[in-house]
Amino acid sequence: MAKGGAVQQVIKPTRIVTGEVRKIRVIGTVFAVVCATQASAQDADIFDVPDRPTLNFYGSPGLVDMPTAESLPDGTFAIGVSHFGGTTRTTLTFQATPRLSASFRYVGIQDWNANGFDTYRDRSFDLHYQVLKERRTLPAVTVGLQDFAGTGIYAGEYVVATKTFEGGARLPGRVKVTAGLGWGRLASSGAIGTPFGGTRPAFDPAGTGGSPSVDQWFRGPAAPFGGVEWQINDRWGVKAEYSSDAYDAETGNGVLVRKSRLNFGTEYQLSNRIRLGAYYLYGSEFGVNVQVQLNPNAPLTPLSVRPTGPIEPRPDRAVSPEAWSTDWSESAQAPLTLRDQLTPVLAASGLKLEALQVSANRAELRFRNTRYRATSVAVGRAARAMAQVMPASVETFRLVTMHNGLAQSAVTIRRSDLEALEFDSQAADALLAVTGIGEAAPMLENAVYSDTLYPDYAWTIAPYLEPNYFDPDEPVRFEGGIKFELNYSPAPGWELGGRLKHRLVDTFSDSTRTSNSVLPRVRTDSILYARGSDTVLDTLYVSRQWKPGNDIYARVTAGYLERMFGGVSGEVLWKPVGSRLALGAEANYVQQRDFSGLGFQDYSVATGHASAYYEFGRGYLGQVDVGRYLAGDLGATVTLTREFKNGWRVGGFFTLTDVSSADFGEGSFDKGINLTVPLDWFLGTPGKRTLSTTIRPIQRDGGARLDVPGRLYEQVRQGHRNAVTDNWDRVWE
Amino acid sequence: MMRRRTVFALIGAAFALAACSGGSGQKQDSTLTTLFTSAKAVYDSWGQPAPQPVVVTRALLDQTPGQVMQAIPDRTGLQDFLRLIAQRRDDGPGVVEVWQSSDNIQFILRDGVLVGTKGLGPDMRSAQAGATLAGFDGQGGGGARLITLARGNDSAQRVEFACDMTQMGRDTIQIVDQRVSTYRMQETCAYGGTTFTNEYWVETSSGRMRKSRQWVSPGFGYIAFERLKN
Repeated sequence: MAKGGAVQQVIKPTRIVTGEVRKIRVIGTVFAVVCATQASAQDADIFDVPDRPTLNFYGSPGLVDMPTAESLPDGTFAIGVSHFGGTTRTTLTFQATPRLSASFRYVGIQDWNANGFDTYRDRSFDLHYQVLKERRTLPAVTVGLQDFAGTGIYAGEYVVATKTFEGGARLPGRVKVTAGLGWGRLASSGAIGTPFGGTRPAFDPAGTGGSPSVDQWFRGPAAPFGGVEWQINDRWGVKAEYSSDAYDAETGNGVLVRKSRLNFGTEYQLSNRIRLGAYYLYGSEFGVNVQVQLNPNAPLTPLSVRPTGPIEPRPDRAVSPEAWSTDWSESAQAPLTLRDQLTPVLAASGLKLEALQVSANRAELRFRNTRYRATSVAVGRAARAMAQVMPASVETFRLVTMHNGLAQSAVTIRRSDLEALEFDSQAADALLAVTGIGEAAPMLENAVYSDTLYPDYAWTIAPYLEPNYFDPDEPVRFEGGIKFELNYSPAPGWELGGRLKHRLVDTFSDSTRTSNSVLPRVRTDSILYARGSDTVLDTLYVSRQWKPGNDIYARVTAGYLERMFGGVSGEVLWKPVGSRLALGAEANYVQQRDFSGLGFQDYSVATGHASAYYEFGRGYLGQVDVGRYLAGDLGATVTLTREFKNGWRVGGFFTLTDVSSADFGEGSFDKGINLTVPLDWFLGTPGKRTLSTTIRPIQRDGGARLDVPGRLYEQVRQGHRNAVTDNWDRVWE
Repeated sequence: MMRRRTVFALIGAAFALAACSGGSGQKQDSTLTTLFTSAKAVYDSWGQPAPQPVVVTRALLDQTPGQVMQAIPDRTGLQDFLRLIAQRRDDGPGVVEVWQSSDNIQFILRDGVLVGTKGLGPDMRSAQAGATLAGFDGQGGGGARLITLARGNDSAQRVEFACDMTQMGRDTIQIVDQRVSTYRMQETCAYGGTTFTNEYWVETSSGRMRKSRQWVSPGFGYIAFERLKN
């Protein structure tokens, strides 16, 4: 209440958005995870919060140690950490589609003392597909493949049915009854026959694993399992089950004693996202299970953007025709004056004016968005900034988003539509219906450019923390220290970038696991790099990117491209603004860097790929790269990604090349998971930054791609039609 | 308490020393720094007593230039005063008013009926008000109201509520030092399992809405408006 200050000065008003809810959430996430999430239960059923299934010891929907047929709410990430009898399983499950979910698990079994392990450590992948959804009279039915790509000790398959009973007069709460049939490990106790015949090979600790063991699935004996879960109220639940798992390997190695097939447990819902359980398993062991369920669609802090003022409508043309005069456009100074007026208005919204072209009734603005992950928010704000500054006669606005010198797309909006629709009952949809999103020319003719933007530079000195997963001796290794980053841009599209890191702490350098790879050691020498020196020039490169045509984008980069390789890289991308399909080609010639210092080793390679990218819609993205990898192997990478509207991305990828499983080593071929979480999901304030990680069960040398900074596709796609319209609901923010 | 504070101070000092940045543009802080700063702000605000409600007097209002609206969201029960920043006529029914809170949240009203919010997070992005305004004629009535609600995943959900307006009779309300004679109206809207009930008090002499309690969104709940000064 800046103008009407009197009341405020006297009384110090409180705010509409009290931070209370937000506070609890942020602290919870960042530091403790455990105290997160009291709130958000107020989501009324209008947002359709589905029933949340509970997890088993394998971190997927289930009873105690056995699975159920339930699915998680679409898009949910479930993290389960369970421990009993010396076994700790940490599982990440992602509900990729409403019916399909995938789990990735890391297990440690203490006192194994066999197969060359003191503590047995292994990674495993599961897939679960819900064949039938629960109906009024019929149960849900799910088929699951546990540890389907390995020779691991958990390999097993199942078919399971679950039915929910609720609202009985005698029993409060909800009862779920489950019955299933298991194979493999899930048939090691109480088998009743061999329905599909066949035999299963024994666990082979020396195998490379990693490939889908199709020939084993549903083979050998089958055994029934089942159980009951009673959800007494919102907080408490109890479970009882009959397990078909004999724990042969564990009992054989003396890890645990199994006296019973029955398991019991009780669980407590600590908060909306966290559930704790305590159990008594196999007649001999106590166990605990911590279950966390996160849904990207439910941010820890709802994102709120500080609103701009409403649009000031132009005066009525009939009443004040002089305001609509076009005389101003005769002046050579007019574009400069307008540029200078517009720049601070844009800056208040985190936008930077790059170029402006004005005529009596049209104007094109080229601007950079430094603040909003959703391009639509930037476009909407730029449009309103134009409406605030431009003379009344300017009716058509062309808004071109720029990213590192690349014009992404041109959004054309009529000013009278902006004025008429701001308070429309369907403001966003109505504006989209009259908005054009088309291609943008590489350069803008007859424009005035910002005279303050270049040279553009930014530097940061900040702490860093880098995790590295699944070393056989240590589940997570990390290093931390201080980094210095510099980005210098002398002109549009040019960039000099670099990162210098100084390591202060790490858990790498004591590792004795040096490479045993028979391929050129393009990735497995990471321990030697870690030992090399504490101060490292991570990257230092010059790049130039530009648009040779309206739909074509190009990039050339040279220098120390990544920690392990330096050289030159060139890329061309074809991506029409409205197209779901994009095609690209990248060629690199690189040489392996020394373990320390600025020099190079003898190994050099020409590597490159032809790529096809496709937007399937509803946030599903696909990518295929075919070409030559760092170790000189030929092959292809397939990546499937699900991108949520709020910026969460989760993807899986695998690479098959002409390297044999034996030469590749453990895992047989390269595969992994990409995860990106936008920072504003935690903070609730707009920003473009994200936290990303790639998790591989194991890093080998086959199918390894060069890590070039600034690949084109994501730079370009975020400003194209599908990405802009996907978030169009936010255009009036 | 003291110990936690010390730990925070130490971590903070470490970050302050470790993280700095510069450049021709406004380079943002590093990710770790941002997370820490955010958590620190949260921590600092813990344990602060809630502000005492203010008894608004005629004298206080007279000192305040412009129109004043009092707003009290249900979920906090705390009071704020809104400032009228824009007034428009467009093709829609009634007069659009944009009211802004002390923390820059905007409430958009059509003749007093809430048709949008900005800056809340769980916002009402836009809404129809025609059926509601038509029900103010003293006869009651109702109809469909399409309301677009922001969702946590950055999308929006368009919900067509079925609404019923009930005439509750005359009601004299106290606004600061005035006794205002009003018609009281109640609007009940439903969509599936979600319902909300808005209440409106419309001044008999001017037809202007003086007081209301209106639903914003599932995440925000209700907010009560009182027009203190025209």
